[in-house]
Amino acid sequence: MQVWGSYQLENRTTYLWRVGRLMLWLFRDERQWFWSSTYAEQSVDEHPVVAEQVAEPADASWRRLITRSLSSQVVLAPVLPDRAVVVVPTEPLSIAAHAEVRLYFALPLWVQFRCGHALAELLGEFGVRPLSNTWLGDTFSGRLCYGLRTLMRYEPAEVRVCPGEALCSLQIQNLAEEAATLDKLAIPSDIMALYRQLVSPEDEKAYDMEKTHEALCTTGIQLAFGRDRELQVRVQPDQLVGLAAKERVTAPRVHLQDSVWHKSITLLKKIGEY
Amino acid sequence: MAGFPGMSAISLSDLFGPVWQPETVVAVAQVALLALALFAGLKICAYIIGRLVEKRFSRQSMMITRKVVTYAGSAAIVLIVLAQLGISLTGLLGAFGIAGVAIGFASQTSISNVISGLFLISEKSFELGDLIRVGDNTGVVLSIDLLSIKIRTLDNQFIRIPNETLIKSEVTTITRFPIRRMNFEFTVSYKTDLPALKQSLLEVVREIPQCLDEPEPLYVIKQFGLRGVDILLGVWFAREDFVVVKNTVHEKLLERFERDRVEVPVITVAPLL
Repeated sequence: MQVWGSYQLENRTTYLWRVGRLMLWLFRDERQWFWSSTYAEQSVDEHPVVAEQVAEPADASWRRLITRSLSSQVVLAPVLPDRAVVVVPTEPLSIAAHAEVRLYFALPLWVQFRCGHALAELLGEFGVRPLSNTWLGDTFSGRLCYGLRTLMRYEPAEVRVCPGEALCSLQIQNLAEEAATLDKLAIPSDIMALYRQLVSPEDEKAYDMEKTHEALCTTGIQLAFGRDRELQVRVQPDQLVGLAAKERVTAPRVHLQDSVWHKSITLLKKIGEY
Repeated sequence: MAGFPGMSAISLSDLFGPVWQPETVVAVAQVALLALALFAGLKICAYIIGRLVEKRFSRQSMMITRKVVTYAGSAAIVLIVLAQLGISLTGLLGAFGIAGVAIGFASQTSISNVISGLFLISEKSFELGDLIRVGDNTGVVLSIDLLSIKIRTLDNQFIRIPNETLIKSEVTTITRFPIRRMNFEFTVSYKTDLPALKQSLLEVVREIPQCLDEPEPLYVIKQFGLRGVDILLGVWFAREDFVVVKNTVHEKLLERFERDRVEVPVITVAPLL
């Protein structure tokens, strides 16, 4: 069942969405929008609940927004997490010297709700499941990221991608003279985009697309262990790795040209030229 | 007009008349206007320089720069005004020197505070907005001045701490680093299955999103105590999640102990704010 898209909500009616572990209720009273969210114990995985008319939940704590003009439309859009995600392979992963491999895993998404005139009002963003916090760096400095333990698969069709998740591809190249170990990897989700995946008929069968949903994938990540074992991560705009995209669904939160990372690299390049 | 015997009468105009002559009034007005313009210019300069410093450095640097510019500028303006009024600066500076010695003796504490303030500023132990603990007082730094710092305590009280006190005391900057560890110390009965307890505790921590996966939680069997086995569970968290982590971990630990029927004679927690 397709989660993403536009919905018309009747006045004074409560609607429920369930994606992953996220439960989200929406209620509209003319220009007033009320919403409440929580995480269920169990994930609904392949069977999301979409705009189901329900009774008002008993002990929900509501938030409220009054829009500028009357509109009954709400849009659910998929977005990538707002912080980098540190992915830790559940099985320790080593790549032999001079080997190259492509691995795939599912990345949980955030659900973005918009309403109001020209859908300009952001009701909120909710992760389809709560991700734990993790720290990238030492105890003096670093940055707060989300943590995700996942099994990295060799074939994209082997990855179980539920609604509310996107397929992420990772190309690893080991140029060093000895095996390289990947303990963890920070995925810069803020500079990555989301795409509607182009799936071949064979893969479609493997994915069982009819039963599930329209697949989403992210910008590809290229990773290289240099000869001196230095790690290089590269994310290029609109470049997918081992996957094909029909179209871009969501732009990156931070454009690469504006990102601090890109600015730093550009500055270093400029300094290097002189 | 009656007067004292032997004294001739002197009118007010005799005393102040020459001073209030039109030329003098115009000159004084000119100097007053000049002083006003200079002070206004100084305010604008201090503001602009402060903004520039804030953009490149920190809010604290901005505040210090603004104060230095204001004090130095004010002193310069006073000297300019005095020169314009025709008052000899040489004599005045000499008088200031003599007065300075006397004032110096009388204001040793203030001078000590000023010097301590300079050390504090150069040391950068904390910045504006940091949460610090000095003695029994914990609060957010509102301003760092030459004589004292001002903090707002967590229960919203304003406290002025002299710089000299700060130099002599142990100051803890609670918000210096972006992440912190909270230690939960408790004692479990000697009958407890310790490996199972460890798994259970780490599971509890993993279930709380605000507890960091990395650095990993710390589990230490501290010692065999009088009441049972003393356990330490250290949980890392982003400093802004202090209250959430403290409350949630306590709640979840109690739930888990009850579920797993772990006998806990005593629970304590550190650090305390």
